[in-house]
Amino acid sequence: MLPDSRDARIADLIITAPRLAYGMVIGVRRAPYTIDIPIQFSSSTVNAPPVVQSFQNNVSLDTLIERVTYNLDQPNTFPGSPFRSLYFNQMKQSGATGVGVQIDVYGAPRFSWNLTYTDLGNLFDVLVNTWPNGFEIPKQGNIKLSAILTQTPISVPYNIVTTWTGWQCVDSSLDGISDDDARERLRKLGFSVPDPKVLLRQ
Amino acid sequence: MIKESQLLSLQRTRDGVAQELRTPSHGGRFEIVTAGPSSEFGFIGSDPYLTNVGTGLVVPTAPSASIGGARYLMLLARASFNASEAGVRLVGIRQYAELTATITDEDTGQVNRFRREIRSPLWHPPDGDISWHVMVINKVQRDTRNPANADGVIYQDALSPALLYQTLGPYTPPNGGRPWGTPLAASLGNMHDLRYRSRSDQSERLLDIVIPAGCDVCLYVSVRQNDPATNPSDGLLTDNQFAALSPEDQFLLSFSANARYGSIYGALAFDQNLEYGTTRDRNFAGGSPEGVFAGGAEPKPEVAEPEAPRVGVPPPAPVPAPTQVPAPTSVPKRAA
Repeated sequence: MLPDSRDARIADLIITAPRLAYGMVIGVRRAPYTIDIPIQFSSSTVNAPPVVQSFQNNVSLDTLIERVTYNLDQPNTFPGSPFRSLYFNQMKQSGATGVGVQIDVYGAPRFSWNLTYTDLGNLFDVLVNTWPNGFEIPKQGNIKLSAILTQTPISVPYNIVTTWTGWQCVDSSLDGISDDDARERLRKLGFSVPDPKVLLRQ
Repeated sequence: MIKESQLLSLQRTRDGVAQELRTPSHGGRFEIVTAGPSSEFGFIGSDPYLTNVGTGLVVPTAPSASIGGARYLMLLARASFNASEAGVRLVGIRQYAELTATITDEDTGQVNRFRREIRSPLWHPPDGDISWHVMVINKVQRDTRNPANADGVIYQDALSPALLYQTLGPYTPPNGGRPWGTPLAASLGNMHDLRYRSRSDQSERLLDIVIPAGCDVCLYVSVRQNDPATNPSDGLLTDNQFAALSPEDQFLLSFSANARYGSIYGALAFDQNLEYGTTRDRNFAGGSPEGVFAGGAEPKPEVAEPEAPRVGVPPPAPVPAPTQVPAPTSVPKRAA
């Protein structure tokens, strides 16, 4: 099994998100899901109380986030200069945006991605390392993004838009099954699925 | 500690696992205090990061009377809570307002700024006043981008402390000058005094208001900037009368040509308790209304011990079910 193959992906999702893995296997129609979390710093206070934003609504279905991107803008920095876009491009590439971000996941389970503020330019690499095949936000879950300035920006307001992209299975029947149900059905389809019930019987 | 079997069982539930895994999602007790740009620090900086930031927001100097009576709407503090953050409580507020007078030395050109904290809760200058509003706002995302946005001056609404505007030049506030949202509690939605003082000791123990998460809780102020032309003129009073005035009135008379509102700050203190609203409480015995571990195996009913036979005691009369009406024990008079 190649590490990037579809089989490897499903094998991973079977452990982390069995319902979504089952949806993939049986070919439930998937719909792209994209949502923004905009942040705006209105003053250049470093290490101030965080600016906090979330998805405007809780996600309505189990959602697998595969990528998070962001863009940076300081409207009053080098206005009119032809090198303005270059400045932001370099800032983004350097990974040092001067914005520290902490992410809490709300829903089930509730946990934090990071316990202290991590630079925006580096944080979303955590997806690649921790959830290489997608980060599941369960139904009715949400994200709480807290951001602070760790460096004094050239100007404020400092606008940041983080865009979360992924997909959902567009079939409400998947909502009605549990992780155990999904595991059981995957097992019937011939997949190797660990069974936590074995441990429960101890 | 959660047992391994319970941990696995929790996978069946939407509540999932929490407490003992990695849940620093409760902030404990924290306070959000206004910080914003201040021209006083433009050259000297106010911290090692060389920012121009000071505590509070500076009220623009243009009197409200000169801009059509518009009141300055400012966001002083904002906290955001997710729908799952049950058990958050607003436990304290602090308020600070001051008078300031800026006088330029004619010989040296040096600008001198004098300030006086307003400590009398009901005091206000002749042509100015402040109202304070603790409001609850739904989790909405408002597009606040505008080319006129500047340091601490944001279009319509902000996520961190700022003067909010609809138009600049002349200034008009958004939403007709009224704060966004709905009042959190009756007495906090519209305060006209400095009842929660900035120097209050243990201000975090003043209140205990449950926050209807998910929402944002905001502290706004609406300021009518004083017109110094309406200040009483210096020399109006005798020395004895002047000495009898409050410090604020003394400042107003001493700097009658310049005294106006300066910086304003407010603070909200929240208590995000660790002991309520967690998955642990909802799932485990002791804290949950069910009284049982809700995520694991089905609770087993307790086996009733067989009752020991009683000797010489007649069995008690059967108790009717609550819905049954007991038969009358006496004969009605009419029948008799």
